[in-house]
Amino acid sequence: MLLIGSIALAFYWVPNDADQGFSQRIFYIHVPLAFTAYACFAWGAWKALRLLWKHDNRYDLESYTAIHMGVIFGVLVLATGAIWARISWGVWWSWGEQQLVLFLILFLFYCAYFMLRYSVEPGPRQARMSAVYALFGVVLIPISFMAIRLAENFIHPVVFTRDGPQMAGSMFLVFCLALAGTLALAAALYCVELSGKRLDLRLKELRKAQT
Amino acid sequence: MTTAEAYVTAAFLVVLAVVLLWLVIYAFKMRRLESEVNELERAQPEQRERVGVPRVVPGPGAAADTSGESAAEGQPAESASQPAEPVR
Repeated sequence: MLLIGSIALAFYWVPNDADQGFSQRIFYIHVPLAFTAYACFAWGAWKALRLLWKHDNRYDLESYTAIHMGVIFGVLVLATGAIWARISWGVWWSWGEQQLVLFLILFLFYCAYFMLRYSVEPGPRQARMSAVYALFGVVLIPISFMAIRLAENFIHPVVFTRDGPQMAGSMFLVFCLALAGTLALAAALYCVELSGKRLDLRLKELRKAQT
Repeated sequence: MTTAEAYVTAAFLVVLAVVLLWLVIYAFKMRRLESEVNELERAQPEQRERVGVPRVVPGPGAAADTSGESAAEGQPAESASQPAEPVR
């Protein structure tokens, strides 16, 4: 509901941006999706840390599900970002933009997580290796976030600076609603996927016990 | 509709399409899990007969009877309904 409400407000309530006009409205979905993807990767890394710390295998499934969610949201960030780039810059992708390339590296890094995971036999070794890999990936999140602030050429817009959000109050309100909506969506999808995976695992154990 | 409006709408529709795709995939997965549970439920009486555990059907007064003897008698029926190994 939050997400649908924020989309409706983004289309019909917030004023047009002075520089970018109507196309700036992608901001209300693109940036919350990016923050949600970062949150999912960070959550996956936290669960991976808990696994290595507590040696409890249930954290492995939680970490895996969070990273899976992060990759889904990462696909959406790249897709919406490409559409925004096409309107604003006239190209679908710019290899000269550090923010874009770093996000792509982060995304591909977590795609490789699945390759690693499925190349190892299921068990504690797979859980440990996946956890260590997920922890390495989390280092890329602040680098990706800071990339546009460290870059010398500012083609990618910077909205959140040390002086606060550089936008009108109504724009910031809609952005916060959209962020809450995407985070709630990610949390709901995470819970559903996690319960599905747990059910699948229990069924497999039950089958094994039966034979 | 202007070009910018078309692109912005496309961006929002992409998000909606991916979320819907995820829901469809998960609906299929849930259906598969449900059919597996049904299959296991059907297979359980067959396994019980193969192992040789008698099927005990509780009588009408079984729930009300709380004496130690009756509780001991009711134990095989209870354990028979459990899987061979505890499932965590």
